[in-house]
Amino acid sequence: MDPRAVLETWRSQRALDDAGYRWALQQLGILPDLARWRGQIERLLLVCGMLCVAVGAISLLTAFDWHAWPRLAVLGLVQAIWLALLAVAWLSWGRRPESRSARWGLFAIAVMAGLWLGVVDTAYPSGMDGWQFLLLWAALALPWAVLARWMPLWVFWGLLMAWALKELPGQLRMPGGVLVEPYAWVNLPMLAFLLLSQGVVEWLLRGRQQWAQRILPRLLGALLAVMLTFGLCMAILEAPSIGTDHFISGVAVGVLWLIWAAASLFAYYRRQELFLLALPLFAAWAVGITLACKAGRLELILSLLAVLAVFGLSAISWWLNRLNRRWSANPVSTAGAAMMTPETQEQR
Amino acid sequence: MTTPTRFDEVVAALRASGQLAADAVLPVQEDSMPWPVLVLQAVAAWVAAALLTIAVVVAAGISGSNVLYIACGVVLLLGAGGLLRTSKVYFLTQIAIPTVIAGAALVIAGVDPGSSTTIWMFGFAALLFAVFPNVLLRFIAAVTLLAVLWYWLTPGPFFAPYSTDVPAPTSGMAWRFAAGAARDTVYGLALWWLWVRPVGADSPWLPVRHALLVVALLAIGGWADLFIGRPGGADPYWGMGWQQPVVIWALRLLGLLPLLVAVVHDVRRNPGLHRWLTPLAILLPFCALAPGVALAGLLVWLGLGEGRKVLLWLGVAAGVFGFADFYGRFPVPLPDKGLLLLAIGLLLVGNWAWLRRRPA
Repeated sequence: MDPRAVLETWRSQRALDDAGYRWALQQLGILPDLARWRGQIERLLLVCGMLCVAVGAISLLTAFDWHAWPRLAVLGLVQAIWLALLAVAWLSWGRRPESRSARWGLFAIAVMAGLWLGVVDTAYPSGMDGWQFLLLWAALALPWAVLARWMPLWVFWGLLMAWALKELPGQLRMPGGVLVEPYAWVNLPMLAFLLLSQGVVEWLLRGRQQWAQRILPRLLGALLAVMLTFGLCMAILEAPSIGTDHFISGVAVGVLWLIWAAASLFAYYRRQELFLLALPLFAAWAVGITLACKAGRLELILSLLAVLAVFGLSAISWWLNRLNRRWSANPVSTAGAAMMTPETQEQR
Repeated sequence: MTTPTRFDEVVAALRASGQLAADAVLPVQEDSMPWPVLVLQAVAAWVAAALLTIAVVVAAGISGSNVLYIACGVVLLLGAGGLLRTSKVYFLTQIAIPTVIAGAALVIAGVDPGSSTTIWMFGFAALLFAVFPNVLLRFIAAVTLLAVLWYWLTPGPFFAPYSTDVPAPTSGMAWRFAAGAARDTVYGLALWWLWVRPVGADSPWLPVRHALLVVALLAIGGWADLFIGRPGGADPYWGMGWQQPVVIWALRLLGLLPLLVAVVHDVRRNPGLHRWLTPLAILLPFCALAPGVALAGLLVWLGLGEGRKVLLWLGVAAGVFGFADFYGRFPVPLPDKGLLLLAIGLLLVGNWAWLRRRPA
């Protein structure tokens, strides 16, 4: 239990006096002392100051009439900023390879590559579509992500790729169904990319058990669960009315959903990861309820549906509780699991 | 700087000094499931409860009788309420909470109170808060109570862009605006008071302080409209003559009160802190001009002073949104705004550099 919560409970039960409560919080480093206050105020001033400078500069740049400048001068300015960032990252990397400042420098270079591309495209219009622009940006950012070997930069690169795939022309997408506008929600290439990313991230993070290290696979897992299950449920609800093309994409979503659900059940049962195991179970429950909706007229089967929902959910909750108790008693051993990440190398 | 000490060492020191009662034991955790799994279970339980409720509503709606709605509502209220008071199983309590709420909503729908709907909502929320000790239900009831109070004390013209059924603006409305600003100040002061005090896991104040946080984040920022005006909407101040700027500035300064109280409280608790505070006064005009930024300032200060990262990051998010909203609406040409902001930013960074060189 959180130490503050324990102290708060004792204080509210009057088992602990106020002076003791505050003293304990200070001893535990939860409440700041004067030195920490000073540091915090300094950081507050710096962050607010830098934000004001950045927003002020962006406002001035936005208000500036760039068309009055020659195209080469605008390109030169952006190129100069990009080169300055490269120099900063190079120097930081040279002083201390894989340091935080060097990595943030590489991150800025990867972001700036997109801005540079945008300026080039504005100065010399190429007629690129949005997805082509994003794919090209992702390609330009890839070498820096490989060099940095740093999770935030990989997340940025993954988001760029997912965004590019989301913008792919509409014939590759699923019909949205009754709840959302058609061709706007489910996108097979993006789903496949996210599924692949989940696999790669799990492979990279094998052996990692700490909560903070598991945020990314959990977020990816939750995103996949929502998108795939929603897509499949929509496909099931729309089944009688959709044409052959959409039938094929509906089946494709179903296949992707099955691969995700089976892989998650198998891998996370072995890993003893309750949340990521619970996702396919609840997803299967949602798909089951959707299938039951197709059994007859909704107003006639609603009560049956409600009972089915409650019983299905009770079963899942009961099983998860049981697994939780069993796994708490016998946690999986992760000793010896290795991973070649920059952090591991730094520790070595 | 204080070196963090192990929790068991701190507890032993507290017991030895007599500040902690000898019979105090560690609270027992009721459920050790990971919280994301609990959230998943809760969401699924709410979906199941919604299906149950829809089934009941459809059955009741076939007859079209209001009495049947009330009867179904009472049955749901009593059944789910009984389950909520007796069951310790997480999943069952999660199904019971939305069912109780649905029961109350069905009773209100059956009574069909028309313009008094908010009074009924307030009454039911107060009743549910008093009768059921469940933290989540109390949180929802507290959010309802605070939101209804917020609604009652918000003048009709505030909703003008969203509704055509609002009274025409009159000079008397200024007092209702003043009442709304005073309510926000009270909410802000209550927020500070509840977050600087220890609140136990079973205390009824715990859900209230979370509810206040949610309502403040959702509602207080909207008062930027009060001061700056909504693009394309009506000017909220009308026909007040020379008193108008006085009232506006009085309300703006009133909005700063919770932040100032929080700062004074920490200065009194940490002698010597006042020496580092002067440069932060540069940020006060932002807080005075935009209530959303003042709330963000309060949350950031509480987060720093109480060591609560959640408040700190919520404050940062509220600050970004509140400032973006204010900056977009501020009726000054963009280059002037940019220059002004650049100057303020340089002033802040200069003060940071000066503070770093100052001896401790």
